[in-house]
This record gives sequence, C-alpha cells and structure tokens, in this order.
Amino acid sequence: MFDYFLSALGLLFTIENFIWINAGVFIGSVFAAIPGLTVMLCIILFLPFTYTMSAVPGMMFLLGIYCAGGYGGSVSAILINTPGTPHAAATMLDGHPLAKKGRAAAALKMALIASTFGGIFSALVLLFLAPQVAKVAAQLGTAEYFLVCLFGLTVIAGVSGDNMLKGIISTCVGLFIATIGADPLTSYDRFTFGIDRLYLGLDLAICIIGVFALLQILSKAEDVGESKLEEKRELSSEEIKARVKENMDNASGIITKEEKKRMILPMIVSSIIGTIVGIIPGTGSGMASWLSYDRVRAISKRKDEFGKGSVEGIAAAESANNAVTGATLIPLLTLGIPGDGVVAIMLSALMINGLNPGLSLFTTQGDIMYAIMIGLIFVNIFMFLQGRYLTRLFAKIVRVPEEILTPIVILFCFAGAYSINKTNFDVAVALCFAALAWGMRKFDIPVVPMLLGFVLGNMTEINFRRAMMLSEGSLSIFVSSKFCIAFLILIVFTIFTIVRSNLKKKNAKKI
Amino acid sequence: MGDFEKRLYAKEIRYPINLAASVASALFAAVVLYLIPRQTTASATTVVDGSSFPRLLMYVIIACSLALAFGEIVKIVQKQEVKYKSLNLLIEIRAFSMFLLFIGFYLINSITRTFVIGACFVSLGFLIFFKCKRKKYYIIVICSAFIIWMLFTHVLNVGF
Repeated sequence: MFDYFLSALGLLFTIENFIWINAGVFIGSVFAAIPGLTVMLCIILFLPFTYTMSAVPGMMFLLGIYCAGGYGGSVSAILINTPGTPHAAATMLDGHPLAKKGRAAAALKMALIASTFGGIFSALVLLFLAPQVAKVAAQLGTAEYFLVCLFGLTVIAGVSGDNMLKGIISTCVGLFIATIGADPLTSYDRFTFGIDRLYLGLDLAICIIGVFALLQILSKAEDVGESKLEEKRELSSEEIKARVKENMDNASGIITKEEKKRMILPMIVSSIIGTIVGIIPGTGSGMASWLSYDRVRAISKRKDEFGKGSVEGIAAAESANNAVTGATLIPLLTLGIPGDGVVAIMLSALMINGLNPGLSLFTTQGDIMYAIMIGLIFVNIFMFLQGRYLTRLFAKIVRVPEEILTPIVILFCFAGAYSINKTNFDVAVALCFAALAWGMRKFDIPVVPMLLGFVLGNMTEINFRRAMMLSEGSLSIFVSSKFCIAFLILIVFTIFTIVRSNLKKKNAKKI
Repeated sequence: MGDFEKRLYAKEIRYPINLAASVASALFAAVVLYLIPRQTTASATTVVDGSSFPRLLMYVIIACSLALAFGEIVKIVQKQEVKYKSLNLLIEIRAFSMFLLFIGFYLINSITRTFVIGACFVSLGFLIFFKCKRKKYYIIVICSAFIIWMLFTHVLNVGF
C-alpha cells in the first residue's frame, strides 16, 4: 500500500492536476448553482475535454465537477429558494429561511463547511475501505463476479422508480444494448444489421448524452407546454436578480461558536449515513440528504427549529450529499459497478484511458487508483477555498437566463457526441437513445437501470458465459462457493426488502 | 394560443400505464427473439454461445411483462384502482417538434460537414420555438455557436 502511496503522490502533485481540480470545482459550482442544470449534465458536457488528458488529471477534473456540484446546488437553494440540483432540496428547507433572516452568507458558509466535512469524510473512507474491498474482489471467480453484477443490477432495478418489474425490464434492455457489436468471446458480430460502425459496439458517453442530456431538453419542450419559457419559469430572471441582491447585500457571514458546536453531531451522523447510502448502487445524494435530514431532526433537541432556518438541518443535508461522492467510487473502482449515472460517466473516462475498474486494477494500476483517491481529498479542500472566496460570483451566475443556457447545452451535447469518434454516426446514435428514453418515459419505465445495465452488460455476459462453460452448462456453479452463497442471499434479501417497502408504500397511499 | 393549438391542448390520450408497458416490453422482446437467429452466430460446440445471453434477457423481459400484465388484470377484475397515464397532444407535438429540430441539426451537419451551420440552425430554432423576443439572446447564442465550434476545432482538435 505504501509503495503505491508514494508513487501516487508523485502522480498527483503536479501543477496540471491542481489546475484541472480547480477548473472542475469552479465549473461544477457554477453549473450546480443554476436551477435546471444538473451535475450529470455538466459532466456529460465536459467529458470530451478529458479525452486528450491522461487518467489522473481527467478524473481530477470530473471529480472536481462532481464534488462541487454537491455544494453548488445549495447556493440557489439558499438564495432564491430553488434548489440548483435535486439533492439540494433538503438544504433549501432551512437554508432559505435563514437567508430570509438576513443571514444568507452564514447559511452559505454553513453549507460549505458541512459539504467539505462530508466530502473529506467519504474520501477518507474511500481511501481506507476501497483497497480492502479490492482484496476481497481479487478472490472472486467468474461465477461470483456474475453474481456481484447481478446484485448491483438488482439494487438499481429495485430502487429506481416505484415498480421493480419495470426496473428489471429496463435493466434487461440496457444489458441487451451492450450485446450490440462484436461478441466479447468469439468476436462474431451481433445485432449490427450490416452497419460496420456497430461492430465496435456503442459508446457509453454517447448513450448518456442521449438518455440524459437530450432527454432533459425534450422535457423542457414538454414542460413549457402552452407558454413561453420565460413566462413558465417559476421565477423570472428579474425576480431571481432581485432575490439574490436582497439576500446577499445585507447578509451576515458570521457563524457563532454555539452554532459551530451544534453543527458537529449532524455533520458526523449525516456523513456516515451519506457514505453508507453512497456505497449502495442506484441510490444517490438525493436519498442521502433526505434520510440524514430526517434522522438528524429525530435526534435533535431543537426539532421546532427545523424548516425555519435550523443550523442542524443545513449541516445534515449538505454533509450527507457530499459524503456520497467518495462512497460511490468504492464499488466503481473495486468492482467496476457504478453507483449512479454520474459515476458511470466517470467510468467511461477511465475506460478511455485503458483502465477497466474491477478485479485487478488495484494491483496493476495501484498508483493511479491511490492518486485518484488522495486527489479527492484535495478536491474537497479546493472546493472549500473556492466556496469561501467565490460564493458571491456563483450567486451572480444564478441569474443567467435559461434561454441562453439551453441552446449552449444542446450544442455541447452534439459537439460532445461527435467528438468521441469524430463521426456524425454517433450524433445519430445519441438521438436514437434520446428517442428510446423518451419512449420509455411514456410507459413510466425508469431509464437509469437501462444505463447501468448497459455499463455492466459486457462484464455480466462475459462472466455468465465463462461460468457456464466452466460448469459445462450446470447452474450449480452459482452455489459452489461461500461468496456465491453470500451474494445469492444478498440478492434475495434485497428483492425481499424492496418488494416489502413498495408494498408498504402502496398500503400507505391507500390509507 | 391559437384555435388549433387550443383544440390540440384539449385532446388527451389516456391509457393504463402498466398494461401498456407490459405489452410494449413483450413486443420488444418478441422482435429481438425473432432477430436473434438472424443477427447472431450459433455455435454447436459450446454450451453457451453469443445468442444465449440476449435470449435469456428477452425471456426475463417477457416474464416481467407477463407478471406486470397479470397484476393489472387482477386489479381490473377485482375492480381496484388502475394507474392511468394521460398524454396531452399539444405537449407531445411540441416535444416531437424539438426532436425534429435535433434531426434537422444532424441532417445539416451530415450534408454540409460544418458544425457551425447546424449549430446556428438548432440554437436559433430553439429560441424561435420558445418565441423569445429578445434580440440580444439571438446574437448571444450565435456567438456561442461560433465559440463552441472554435473551441472544439482548435483546442480539442475535432475537425468539423
């Protein structure tokens, strides 16, 4: 471990890396601060910039966006009562009331401190836990590995949307899409319909551009419905300007000693919850921040302050959503299973550099892995510094009108899709994925399981087929070891838990 | 909103969402199962070949579709509440128009091989679509199209 540690420090401590970390943090904060633009969209748009970089600076840049996105969303949540990102909704409950009391800068500072604490906490967990998980992962055979993939896919299918069957259908569609192209074991072509370009398979980044970015634009067209964009927005550009000005001009940025003390326990509790939630595939920071907010409210001595500008409320929501960032990287770097869509994009950035997360990466490319994990700590430190000195600038950017931003986003999507293989065919593929995702939405079939099915498709199929070949077609190979049995129990337990929770929700609705 | 738009807005398509999803998924799986022998190479020597995994996936989809449909049919028979989804024709046409705008960009880009022309088309089309009246926004998005084109061409070396 320490051999890798030293060479990792050598890889990490370069001016180039620190520039990219800061660029990522800045861009992530700005994007997340603007309501309607998500962290995922930001990472999709800036992914092409990493194609020319090596693994460490590329990942530092993307991690900068990812972590800062967690904090950036709170800026608009606190200042204009509109969460910049969905996971900042819990922050808004107490952040905006505190801003209304003339303490916007203090609320932003609390959010920043809590975000940094949660981020560093989960980065440390990643640094110490990931190598241990990787050691276990190195002992897994093909049958076990197939069951690991199956477990990840089951969780994702179960927690995305309110119907597990639809989640499974979506996952299977994603797994099927991954089979398009050359057969990974025999190299015969499959589902290529005579199109040569399809022999290489479909790129993850192109799929993501279609499924998330272009679909989001189509949703805007749907949402606007009968009126113009400017009129339909909850707040007009002028109203946003007025609110930001009102909240920032007379804002006091002082946090008292007593308030600082009150933040400690919620930050610790929420960081633990956020980290646990982050490790589970398919969950995400939204779930983490609401869970932590509820938990901290339950244990707080000042429950009545929640929703009216509670210091603990802000600390809980913000530390939880940033604690997810490092934790989601644990299954990604050790098993190759991305916890959510954002991390799936990072997986594609790693794969472009020839790094296939999973079994052997910690032994073959340990220095790069450690550089990324240590780098995450620095990402959080720079996020704190930028947040400390540039928050007023982020607040100004909240005012940029959507009419200007959306066309720019569209152009970045198309340019990004084209630039991956420098072919217009990929733009068409992105459009096909957008159409597919749009169609799936009409049937309330969630798209996230499809994306993660696509990501894990190759790995799942290879391990399934190898296991079946080894056992000469006998399914008994999937119960042949203690790891297999453990994963099977986990899968059954997960399905049982999800079905029970869905039934409870249905019964609660009936009542 | 004009008369025609008002009439479209009043028109809604309502369907039982889970039943429709199960039919659509089963149809998709049936089409893929039909394609599998034509689009994959079977092997007589191995236990599992390139067609086994996609075939297995389609069977899972069909099983889930049947379970979904069965659950809905039971609800209908027992006269329980069935979940419906409504599609507003005007809203769907607007989203489809936006999609056509994207296709327009793709076609222009394929024919002219110059990104910036398609980029100007799609960004101006977007503003017109949303009936934006501010002239400066039109100028800003055209400038942005040129900047993005220059950025990708000269900084990222993507020739288009």
